[in-house]
Amino acid sequence: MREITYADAVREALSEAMRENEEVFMLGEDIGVYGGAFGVSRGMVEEFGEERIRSTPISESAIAGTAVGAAMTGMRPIFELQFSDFITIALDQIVNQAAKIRYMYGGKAKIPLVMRTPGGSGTGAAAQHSQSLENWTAHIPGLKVIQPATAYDAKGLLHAAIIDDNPVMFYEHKLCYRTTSDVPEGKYVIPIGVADIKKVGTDITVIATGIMVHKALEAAEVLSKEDINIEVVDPRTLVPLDKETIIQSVIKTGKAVIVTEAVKRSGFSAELASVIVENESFDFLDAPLVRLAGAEIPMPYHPELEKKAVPQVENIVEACRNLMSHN
Amino acid sequence: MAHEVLMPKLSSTMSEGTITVWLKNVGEPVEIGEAIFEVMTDKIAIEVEAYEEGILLKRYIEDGESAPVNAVIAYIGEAGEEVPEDMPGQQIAPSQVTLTEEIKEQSEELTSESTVDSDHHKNVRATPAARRMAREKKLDLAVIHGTGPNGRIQALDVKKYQIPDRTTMTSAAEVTVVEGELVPWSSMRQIIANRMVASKSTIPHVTMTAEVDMTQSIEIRRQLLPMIEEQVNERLSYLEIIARAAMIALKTYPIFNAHGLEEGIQFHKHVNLGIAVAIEEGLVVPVIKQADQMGLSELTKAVKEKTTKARNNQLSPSEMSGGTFTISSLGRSKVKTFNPIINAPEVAILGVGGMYEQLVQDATSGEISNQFKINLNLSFDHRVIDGAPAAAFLSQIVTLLENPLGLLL
Repeated sequence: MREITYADAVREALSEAMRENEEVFMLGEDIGVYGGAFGVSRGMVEEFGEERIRSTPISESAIAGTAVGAAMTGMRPIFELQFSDFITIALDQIVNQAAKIRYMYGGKAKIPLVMRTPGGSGTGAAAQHSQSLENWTAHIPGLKVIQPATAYDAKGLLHAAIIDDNPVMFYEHKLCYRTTSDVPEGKYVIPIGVADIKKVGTDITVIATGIMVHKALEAAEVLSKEDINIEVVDPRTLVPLDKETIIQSVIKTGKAVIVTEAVKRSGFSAELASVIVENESFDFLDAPLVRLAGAEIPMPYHPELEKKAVPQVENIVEACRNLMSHN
Repeated sequence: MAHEVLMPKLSSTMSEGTITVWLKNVGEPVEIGEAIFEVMTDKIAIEVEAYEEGILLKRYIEDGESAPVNAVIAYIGEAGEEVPEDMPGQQIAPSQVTLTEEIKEQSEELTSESTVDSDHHKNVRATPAARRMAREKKLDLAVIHGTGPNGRIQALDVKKYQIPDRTTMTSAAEVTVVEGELVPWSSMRQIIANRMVASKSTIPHVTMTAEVDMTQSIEIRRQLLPMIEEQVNERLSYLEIIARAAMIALKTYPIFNAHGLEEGIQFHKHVNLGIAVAIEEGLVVPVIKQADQMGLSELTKAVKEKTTKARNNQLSPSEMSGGTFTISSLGRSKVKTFNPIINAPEVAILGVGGMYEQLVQDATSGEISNQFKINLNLSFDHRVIDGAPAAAFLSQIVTLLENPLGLLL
């Protein structure tokens, strides 16, 4: 199978969906001729025209509101926010409208929209362009939240998001865009709500989201040389969450490390931790849970400080070593 | 008629068994004594053999699934024979009912005796996994030593607490053997068990055996015995003669008088000689400090003093610690050779077998004579010591015992 980048995989899913269904269209800042802030939609305006690849004014609230209205009338809009930080401006449309309309209309209106947006740090883009805010939307009933880590998952899950009749938040990570993996040609759908065990292991369950999946896999390499065999579980979708896979993995290993980039306090890592202790996996825990997550500070601009503010491979390695040395 | 295959009861605490792997598929012929599946108890995995021959007609549980003891898990019979589609209800033969009841009573007794009051139980620091495991094994957490942070009991500690027994099952008949009294681990047995497992599983043991012609040693003992008895009022035995030979050889090969530590190999200037002594409750190893400085009479006095104290339970902890080399003797038994387990962190142990007679033909004269022999068994830590120096060390001890005048130097 061919290997392509995460950004190309996202573009392929978008193009395939638009060729297949005329109701699918995209809107966002600079997504046309410029090709989007991270080049994801490069070349798409040439194929689909300005009607379907709509460059918008700089007004996230208007973009989101337009998407919600279009979805109500039967279109399947995909809108892009240049940086997930800008969701603050669009939140009223997303939280108060998109998430609730199907419920408040007794099911008579559907909101089949997808919000795509790059999140996370690692590019030196400073405090207003580097946050991980996926947890904000995961908290709202009525929204589905996807956070794919690999090119393969990104394409299959984006197809699933586009054909879903509900609003789906689709968080891409800036640093994932250049990563590659085997990606099939043509449309395939990964069901929303199914976690993936990225590496099978026996000693510790490492649950990682987004870019942290890659860091966990790197840590697994290091740890395997020390005879520590970790299992890397990637939930892939935060809402709905595949609790069963997480629970079964912890039952198997008895130890859990949770790694997210988002700030630790009230973060999604806490949700993952509570899934483990609220269920039958509790009785199999053989050490306190470990949460590795972002520092409670605005993201620093300096690249070295930026690295310190989010979990790195060596932090995961160290946490796993500590867990094993208690035995 | 088709024969039932039951989930065997492999230990008194087993209530359920898990099939790790079926070794026979449905439709395959099975012979008596042939292994048909492997079952995992809470301790060990064991292959279970068929006690009927025929065709494996039906399996009710698959790999990885569990069934209670005595449940019908399969049928063996003639091809085409009818067997129930679903797993029959748990069937227990009358004799087995009594057995199960008996064991239940015993285990209840055991639990009531060993359970400390519940408040105490709550204060034990243990992980959820350890608590679950202890519950399943009916163990009291209060008696388990925790190795986690602040003494927290972890699953591994509970697992280790019950040392796998050596019971193996070879035929169905043994499954229904009536089990006797279940005696909980005494604290001494527990410590011995833990140490043996730790030593044997972390140290790569190699054991070498050498035969010693004791003719000359017997003679020298005969001559020295009254002198030493007069001097220290104790009778010289072969153990001291062998110990003295070991002390001399250790001077030539100091690597055997060392501790294998994580940071490196710790050499010792003097030999603190451990003597393994069997006592009623188990085994203790009193230590004779600076035994390399002692002549035969002094050594005789020290060995006798420590072994007497050991048998009377009068040893203080300091008298049982700090050993650098251990001798374990089965000299009064019929055992010729054995594989002693190293008293970690020491790097070697010398095992002494019982003396025996052997007819020997002299190579040159062809004359046949009767010789007294013993076997010395040296186990050493192969991480620290290689085979060649071990052979040289053991050879020197043999040479000294066969030419014992060297012991007096």
